[in-house]
Amino acid sequence: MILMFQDNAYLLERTMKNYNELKSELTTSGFTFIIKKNGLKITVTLENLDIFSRIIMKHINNNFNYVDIQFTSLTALITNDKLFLIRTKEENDNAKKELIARGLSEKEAGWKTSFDQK
Amino acid sequence: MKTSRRIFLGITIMIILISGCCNFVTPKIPIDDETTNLASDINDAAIEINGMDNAAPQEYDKIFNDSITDKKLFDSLNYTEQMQNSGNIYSFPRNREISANWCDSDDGYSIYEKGGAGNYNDECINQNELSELVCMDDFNTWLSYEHYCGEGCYNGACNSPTLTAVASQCKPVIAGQNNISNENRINIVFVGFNYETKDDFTLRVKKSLSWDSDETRGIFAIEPFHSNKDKFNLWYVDKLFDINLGQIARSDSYGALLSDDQRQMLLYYDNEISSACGFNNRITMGLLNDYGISYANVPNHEIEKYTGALSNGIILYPDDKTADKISDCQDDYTCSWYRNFYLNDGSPVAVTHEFGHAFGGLNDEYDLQLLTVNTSNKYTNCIRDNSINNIQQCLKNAPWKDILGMGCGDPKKIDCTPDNPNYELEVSCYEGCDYQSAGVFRPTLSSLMSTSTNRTWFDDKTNNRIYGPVNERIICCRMLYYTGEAGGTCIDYNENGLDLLGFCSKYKEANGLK
Repeated sequence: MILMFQDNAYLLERTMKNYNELKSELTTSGFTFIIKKNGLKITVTLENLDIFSRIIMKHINNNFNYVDIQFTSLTALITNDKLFLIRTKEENDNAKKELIARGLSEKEAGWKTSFDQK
Repeated sequence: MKTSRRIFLGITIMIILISGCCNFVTPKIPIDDETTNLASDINDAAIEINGMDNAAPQEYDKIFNDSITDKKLFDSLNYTEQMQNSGNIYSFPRNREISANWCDSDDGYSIYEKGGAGNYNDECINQNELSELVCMDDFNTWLSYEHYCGEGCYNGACNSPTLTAVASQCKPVIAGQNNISNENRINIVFVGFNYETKDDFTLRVKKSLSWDSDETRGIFAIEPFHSNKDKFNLWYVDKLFDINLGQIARSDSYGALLSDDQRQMLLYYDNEISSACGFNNRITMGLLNDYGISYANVPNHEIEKYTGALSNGIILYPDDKTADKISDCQDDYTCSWYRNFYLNDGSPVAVTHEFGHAFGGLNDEYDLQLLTVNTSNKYTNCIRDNSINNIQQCLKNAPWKDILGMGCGDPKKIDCTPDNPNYELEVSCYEGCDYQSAGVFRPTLSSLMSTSTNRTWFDDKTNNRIYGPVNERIICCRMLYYTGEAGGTCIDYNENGLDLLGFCSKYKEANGLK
């Protein structure tokens, strides 16, 4: 059987508050992750996006940082107060605009999207 | 010739008695003291995070729900129920193993024979739907599956398949290549389902094989098959078959999700039809004109008994017209991935992946949480052993400990870094395999039997050893087991102090191969 994605989210340590607590919460909720130099690589499925988002929202350390998760034709973007679900360029532009208004640099607002990988 | 595609109302699984079954409930996270008293406004989506001390979990649920930019979409993403209704998608064919028990007289999940559970019998719900009772493996509970019978339902059983082929329809794929006087050769037989023309089907057979050209990443473009072509005969059944599968469930995570019923039906047809080619040592690859997830049996005694052949698989491989329809679809979230996959000729790679199961007995190496099956992995590419509880113990005790470091850089040591393109194929130890994230170890970061974000291996044309060394060596053992010979790149595992025969002997014994 072929699955379409794995390790589709990357959590940067510097964007999280209480990194150890975050790891512990993820583990408690059944997530496993690979610890990398600057953060964690983790597999998120649509079935556990809900629980993953709830955990991450609590730990993002300011309102312009985010975690992006790539699905086949959907990008989920979690900030500390919002879960953006992005399928189109327009939705992506809106999310980008909002995060830049919050203080994110243009360069950092360059997350991958499902539609630009076609 | 096929004139139309018919979609029937779907196969659903009704769980009549549930006892410890199908636990797909999303866990609820307790809200900690920091996360309370949120205020929200869905219109501008501003949520105050500060001062959230005493909110009840329900309030947090509301706030979380309000924070989602597209709630309707988010709700539609939860395929838990759909997965549940599709049965345990990872259980086939292991669910055959629950057959020998007192509460079902028709050998467990057997739609072509009437049986029963307890005081109840399998029965036809209507002309095409069967209520099939299957015992759970605790022997005390049973499930009722509603199965769509493609050929109709009669007296508590589906009518037997009528899709048959005759020996004269068994044709060589490549003229002059087969050698039937060599009884040791493995016969690969292709069967086509729901294609409109024979040309559509045979073109895909050729792409799946990559016999003369490595342009597609079919079976013989990849080692160790590439350098062992002389051990195979290649056939196809020269007749097109239409098959009614009922509705195929689709989800964004998994694409088309064939249910246990659908897979059983396809694999049954696969075997029945390919038997026209007459060889017992055959592996059947069924190509289905649709898009979605492909499957294969992993050979063991149960399956050999069941299929009458060595093994078989079903690969969803759309013709151009079906692929065009994928481009047109609007609301199906699987579209873009599959569009990309097929545009890049991904299907032949899927055939090669499934052939890794069917021929090599390899497990999937996916590292996933929340999806658990308990398989019995012995001396293969996913290792679960009481003596292996962490990476260090894996490095010390894994069946591949003698080839640590192969696949990248110095083959005698683990020395590669992520900047090397073959880094993910270097033999080491990683926790997570066979859909489980803990307690099971795999040999490489990724391979053709898995994927990662960095390397999917499906669109990589720079390397033809993408099974990875551990899987290659296991395939070589299967080659030895089936044909008595293994040459080409298999020799790599018999040089520089390595002993292929010795390894294969242990592999054979551990897996109970006769």
